Amino acid sequence: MRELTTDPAAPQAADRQTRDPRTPATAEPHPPLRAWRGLDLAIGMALLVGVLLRVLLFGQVAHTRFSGDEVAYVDGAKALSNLLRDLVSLHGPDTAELSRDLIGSGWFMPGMTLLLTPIYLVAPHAGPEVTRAWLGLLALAIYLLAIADVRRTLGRWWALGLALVPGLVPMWLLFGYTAYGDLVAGLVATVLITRMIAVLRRCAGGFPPRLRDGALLGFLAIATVYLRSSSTPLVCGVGAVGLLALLWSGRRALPPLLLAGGLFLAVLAPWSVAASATLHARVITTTSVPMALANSFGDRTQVCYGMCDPGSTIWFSPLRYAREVSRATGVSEVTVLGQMSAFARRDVTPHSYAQDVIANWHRYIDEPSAFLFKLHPPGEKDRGVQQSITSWTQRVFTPMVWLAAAGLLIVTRRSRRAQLLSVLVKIGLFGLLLQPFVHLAGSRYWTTAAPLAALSAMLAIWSVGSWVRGRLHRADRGPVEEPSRLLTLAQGVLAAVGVAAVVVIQALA
Amino acid sequence: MTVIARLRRRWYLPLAALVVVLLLIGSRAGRAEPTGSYRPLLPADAIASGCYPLPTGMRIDFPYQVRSDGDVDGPHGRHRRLVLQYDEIDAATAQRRITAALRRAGLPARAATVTAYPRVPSDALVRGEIVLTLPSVARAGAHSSAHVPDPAQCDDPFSTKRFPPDWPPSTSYA
Repeated sequence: MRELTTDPAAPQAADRQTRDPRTPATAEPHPPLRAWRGLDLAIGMALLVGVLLRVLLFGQVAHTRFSGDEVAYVDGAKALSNLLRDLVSLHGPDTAELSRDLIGSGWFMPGMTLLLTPIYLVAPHAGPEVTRAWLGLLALAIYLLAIADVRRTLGRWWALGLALVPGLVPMWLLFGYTAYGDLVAGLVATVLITRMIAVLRRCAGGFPPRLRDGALLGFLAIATVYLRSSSTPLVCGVGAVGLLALLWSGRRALPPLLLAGGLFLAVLAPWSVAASATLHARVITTTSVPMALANSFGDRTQVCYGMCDPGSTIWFSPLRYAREVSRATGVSEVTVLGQMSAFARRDVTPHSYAQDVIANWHRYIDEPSAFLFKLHPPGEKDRGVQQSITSWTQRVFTPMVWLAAAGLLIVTRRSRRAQLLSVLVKIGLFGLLLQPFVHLAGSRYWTTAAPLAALSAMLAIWSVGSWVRGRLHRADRGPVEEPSRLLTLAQGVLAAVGVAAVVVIQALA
Repeated sequence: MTVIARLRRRWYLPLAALVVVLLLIGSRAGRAEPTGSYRPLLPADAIASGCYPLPTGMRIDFPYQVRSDGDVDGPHGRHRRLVLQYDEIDAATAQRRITAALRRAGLPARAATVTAYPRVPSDALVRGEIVLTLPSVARAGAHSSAHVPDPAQCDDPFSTKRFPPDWPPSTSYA
């Protein structure tokens, strides 16, 4: 518990041995070794229990066939594995297969597809149990990396928090076996944020970022977008905070920042170019936003200038119609979708928009275990297991949401590291929570936000704990690392924006 | 230098070796078979498919998409109701062209009702709707003279736009 009340900016001793010697030292005395060992032991225990839970939960989904968007990612991986085969055996690529299964309708960027490709390369006919086991291992590995980086950058206390929540939340663990990119994107975004904190802290200490910092940040940023393109606002926000490096390190920060941006664009380009060429329109990330807006806020009976074809979904029926119009006119289906969306949204008012945002918000947050209707062994549903997954998930989920919301209002001056964490977590969560404002939300989107929500919740607990401890022990009060006025202001502005958004939406609805 | 330290410095070597091994295994493992279900092939156009042909002599010479087709009962008995949308032309042009098309088949101009959609921007592709009242037509089969390039399309309501009445509207979000 000591780390909660001492300054989180104090780098751990183990840290110092491995980290760049230029890391600024602080005057903070080391907390007793025993407390560290206790925390490390607790983290290890939590991780162990988490792994056991993962193993137990694998039985729930091992034989569950891929469904919904998972199919798109699996198809893409199969097409990509065939492309690799063709390249190795010097055959021409099957462009029809690639455009149909990899690019598809441009709805999904191929992050999960890339992660799944090795499986279908080695075992082209792999069943769901093999693929889901692979996905589970990947999710576990990326989760452990995230925990390790949080421990290194923020401290053991914060790593323990993540090891408990979402690390022991059954529904979140179950999602680790799915091919939706949401969960992995949330973990990579967390590492992006912790890396950004580490880099900016060094900048503030007078050490400009190195080229390899820039390369890593650029890679993490584009990986997040590839895994779940709806996290683009988060990545842009974190990137904007990265510009603080220029303020604190001057021109010396420019080459690493340019490298980060350049790498981001260079990795984005192959997808954008391929999708644009296939769909004959300018596609940067995905094509799904116009129809998402129409279905969220517009009149669904007017999407196809009247009703779309029956017997399908709100996604596939408009798309087929757009392709028909494209066939008749020779104009790209992407352009048609944009026009359809605008037509269906002609009568949107601030009132109707606000009401739909609130409905979306409830879809985002009300039923974190709703996907259990899919994620169960084929043909059978064990009510007992489903009920315990639902109740344990909900038991943790509700307090986490409230604490995370409290964390979004926290303005801390205790240390620059805490300030950076506070600003980046706020930007990250707000970036993800833009989703209900532009897109029909679903009950799996929370898995992206879960690690950041946990950090926000920890921030709330930590801030209150520090304040109480400061009251009790006067000597312990006050900032250790020089806080930044700019970061204090940024936190205040972000908290105010969050409150304003809630107030405005409620007032309009 | 220990083996571990050497591997740490040249971490890309084992990685590259692994990739090569995976590629070699993969190239001998047979092809994967994606389903393509997230990008179904576009069904044939309802008129071009030839399954339910237009009256002899009638040909539509502007961009359109069929929205629904089927036989309905009216005051003058059973007839075919074909609803299509016209693209890129204004209502007057649509009226003129569809009248000419009907005339070529010996049908009166009143067989078409043209309605422009309200409040569409000037650059809109889809501009309005035409409801055609035509003589009923049987599905083209092996014995008919009509040319049907792909008979399988005739069983696909997404192609013929003759939807079973019990198909639910595609407006709900699960």
